[in-house]
Amino acid sequence: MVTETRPPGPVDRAEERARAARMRRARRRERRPVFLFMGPWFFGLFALTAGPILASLYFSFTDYNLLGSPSWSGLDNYAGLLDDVHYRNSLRVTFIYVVVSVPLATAAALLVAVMLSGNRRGIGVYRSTYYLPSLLGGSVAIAVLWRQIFGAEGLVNQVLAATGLDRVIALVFDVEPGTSWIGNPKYALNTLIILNIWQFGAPMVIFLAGIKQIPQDLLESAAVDGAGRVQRFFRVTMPLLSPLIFFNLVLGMISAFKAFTPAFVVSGGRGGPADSTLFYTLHLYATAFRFRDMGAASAMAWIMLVIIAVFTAGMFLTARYWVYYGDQVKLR
Amino acid sequence: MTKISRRRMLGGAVLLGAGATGLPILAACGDDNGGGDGGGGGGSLRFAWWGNPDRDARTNSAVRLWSEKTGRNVGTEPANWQDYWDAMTTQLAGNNPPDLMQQDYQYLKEYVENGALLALDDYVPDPLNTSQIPEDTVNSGRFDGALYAISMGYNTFALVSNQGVLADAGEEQPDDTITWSEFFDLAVRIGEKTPDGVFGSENAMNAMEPFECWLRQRGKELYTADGQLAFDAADVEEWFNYWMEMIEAGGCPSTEADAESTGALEDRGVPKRTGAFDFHWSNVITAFYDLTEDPIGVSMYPQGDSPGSPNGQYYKASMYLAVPSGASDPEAAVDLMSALIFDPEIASELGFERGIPAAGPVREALEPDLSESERLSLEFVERLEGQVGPVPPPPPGAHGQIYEQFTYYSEEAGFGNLSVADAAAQFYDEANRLLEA
Amino acid sequence: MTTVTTAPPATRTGGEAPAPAPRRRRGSWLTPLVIHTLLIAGAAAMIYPLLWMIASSFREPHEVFTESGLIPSGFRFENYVDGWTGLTYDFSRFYLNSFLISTLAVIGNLTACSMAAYGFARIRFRFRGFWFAIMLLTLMLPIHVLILPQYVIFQRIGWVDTFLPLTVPHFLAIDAFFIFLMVQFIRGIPTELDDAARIDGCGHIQIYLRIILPLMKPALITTAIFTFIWSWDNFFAQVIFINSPRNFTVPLALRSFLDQQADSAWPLLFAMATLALVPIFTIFLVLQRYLTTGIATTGLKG
Repeated sequence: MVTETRPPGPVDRAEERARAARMRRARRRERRPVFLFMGPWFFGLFALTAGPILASLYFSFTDYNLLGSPSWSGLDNYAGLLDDVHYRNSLRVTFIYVVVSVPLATAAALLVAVMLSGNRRGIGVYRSTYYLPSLLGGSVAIAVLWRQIFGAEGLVNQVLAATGLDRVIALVFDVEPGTSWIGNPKYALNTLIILNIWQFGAPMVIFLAGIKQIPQDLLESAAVDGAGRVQRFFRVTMPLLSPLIFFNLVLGMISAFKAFTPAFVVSGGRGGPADSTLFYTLHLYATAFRFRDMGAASAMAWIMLVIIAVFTAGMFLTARYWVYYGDQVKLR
Repeated sequence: MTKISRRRMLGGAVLLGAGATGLPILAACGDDNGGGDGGGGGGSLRFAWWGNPDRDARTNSAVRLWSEKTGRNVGTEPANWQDYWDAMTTQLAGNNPPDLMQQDYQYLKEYVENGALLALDDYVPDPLNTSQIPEDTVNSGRFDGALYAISMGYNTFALVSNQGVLADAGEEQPDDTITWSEFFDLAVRIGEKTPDGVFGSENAMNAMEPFECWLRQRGKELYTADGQLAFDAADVEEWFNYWMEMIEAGGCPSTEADAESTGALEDRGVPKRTGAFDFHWSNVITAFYDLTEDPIGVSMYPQGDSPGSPNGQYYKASMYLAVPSGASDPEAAVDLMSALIFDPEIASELGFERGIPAAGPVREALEPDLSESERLSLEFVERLEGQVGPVPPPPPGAHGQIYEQFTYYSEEAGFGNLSVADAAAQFYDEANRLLEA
Repeated sequence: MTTVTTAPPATRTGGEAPAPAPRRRRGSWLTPLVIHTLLIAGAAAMIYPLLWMIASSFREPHEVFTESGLIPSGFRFENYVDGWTGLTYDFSRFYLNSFLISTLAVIGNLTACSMAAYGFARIRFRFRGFWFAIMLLTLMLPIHVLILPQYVIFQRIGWVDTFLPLTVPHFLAIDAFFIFLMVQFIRGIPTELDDAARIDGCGHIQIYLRIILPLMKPALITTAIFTFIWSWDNFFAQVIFINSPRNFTVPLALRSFLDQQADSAWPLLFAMATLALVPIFTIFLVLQRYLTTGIATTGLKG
């Protein structure tokens, strides 16, 4: 920018005013579309969301057992959480769950999406098959299904025993053959991690949608330049998909922190065995609805919000380094 | 101009948000009767209960009979146990309760203390003819002298056996006099004489019901009348040790195997033929009966080892009916309540599904048409008449959490994360802490 | 916001480029074979649990926990009939309810979220960044603490025990997930297209309808699929807001089959759960084709 070295004269002020007026007109032009496009969201925010959010903040400073009325208790709820061994357990369990399952599920989704992105006949069947698990969602049927697979007499153990792998695993990992994966607190969480990965259909579909947006010409010209499949994937596909990879990671992380249904259904709402599947939100739900301590539950919710916000902000900050909005690749 | 209009919009929105915040506080103060929505112009009542398809069908036909008789519509709201309490909690907090609800002993005290239930004394004896119900059972619904809930049925502790498994092990059905030590030996013997994976007993280490019975046999209880613990950490330790030793000796499944169970009836030892004994309540005898082809046996829980100790059993109300304070039409609600409990024609639709019906005349009406399993259940319960002890004091509000802790610490001990002594001690401290809060 | 410096999108889009003329290389048949094997193995792992559930829907209650194979010992078709008629109302009613709610939710999300996404991505308004952060924030609080005040609000306006609490919020763009998803998509669309349209005299509404929406089709399809399925499966909100069996959704009805004190009727539950998969699976199968037809942009070269 050129530094002005003479004092502002009348012409400059006029220019300033003109520019400001133009900007005001521009903003005014934008005002009506803003109300139209953003209107529903703003209305929903203030009518349905803001009140409950503020209410929950208020509750977190009260003693409220849902049958009586809330009474102010200051920071008691927050302090009380530090003493609660189950709260600490739930933090640990949820943290492990997020850090392990989100990257794995996202990577699996990406890999499978790339493999299924072609137009071969019958590819729709493959896609639907890989998406099927997500359809089961929070179905109560999963409670039994997962036992049938990971129980002491379940499929996994049967396969391991039949192939003799159970002895290998016993030696390498110091695990008893025939151990119940779902009944043993050391491994129960892993079965839930696997459940999350099993249901990678959602991020997979998002990746599929994104892959479809990649211009063919880019891939073709890269191929013509001698780039092999792998290179094409890393140099063309991945950068172009980076907004969606970012999206899936961020949202996967948020939803993993908030994960509730898998643990609720599989552990029957108890988070067992021995708190090994006590997700944060599960403990929150139990505190709010079973123990009727809405104050403590609200405090938990706000702490989690802060944790998630910090993580999300962190991810947004790193995004600058690896996420490309709009490709910066020029065609020849 | 842009600034002002945006500010105005924001201001209005903040007001709206603040107003919305105020609503829950207002609602919680209970100064508004939100029942108008539920009742609907003097027409429908709302009746909510927890159950299963069988109970739902029976209840619906009972309610329909009442509707025909009185010309009042009833909106029925069944749900499963978990969902029911979530819904009730929300509705009561939001001041939109049903007119009639099912209640459970473990929650009654808390609901009454917070004024959530209506006192029913004005409706006794007409239409609530409580003299037809054993006095003890009626009194279990009394708090500070006022009656808040009436039991629909009652049951008692039942040790259910799979006699096919017993026969495989060459053992006999024990009678009501078997002690805990004899039971221990029996369970271990059965475990030895049956194939791998079949045990004598279920692993009841994390269950507070048998623990309660065991305590009562020693002259203690779970809770005192003013809501304190009525047992010591040493009791917990002894209880945990009993089961740890049984696991070791092969009499019951390990903690890990037990943790795998979903808790559903079909997943228990007796129906699956993986165990000879299950600790439960008498009202599931019929269900167990239907789930297995082997004959079923019933006896009391094992008795105390010291001679002359009480048997620990009591008649527990299986579930209650109560009228929430915010009900839109208490009169009609009480009328429906009395029909479901006292009217032989209507109550017999419900059958034995909720336990032995509380009112004598209803039992008599049902007597001729009992199925074999229902007869078994009835005979067992009636056999204990005169032998059962008094109903324990109602559990304090923290009982739900204390039970969770009991399960948690029993698992910690069972998986070896804590020593039994430590687990018992830590549980005890936790339980006291929860009672103080 | 990064300015886009690319050439406009090509006329053909799609997944992997067709391989150039196959060159005879040693082991060139191995990779596809390995990939195929992995895919099939993966697919088997995906559906094994479902096959087990279908098999169990034909079993007796006590067999559910004792048999673990895929072939049931007997075929109790009565489970399907009993399940269908076993509750207060026929399952056809519950299907209709679920369908209605989910369809309305989809319509709501498609309109409101795309509009909000367009606003966030393309319209410059004051404090946009701040509101974007607020939008993300709404994603981070779990429903369990919010549902109580929301219940009070809905109860005050008499919407409890209706479908309204489960559908109307979607028309108010309550699902920040999809707003964010669409924003990411829109940011991938070059602004040159907008500028070109603006030169031709189009305002925001025209740009939104004529340019952005058509180019966003994959995001819209994805939103439709996910909204339908997630709204179908959202049992907690349904538990709280729906009380009368006549208004029950399929997940609520399925949960009625459970009880800790009686035969839980697991086979009936599995039968109904299997049936419940059919419509949502069909919807997915139908819609996913549109994901793959890709975006046909009309000549916007240069």
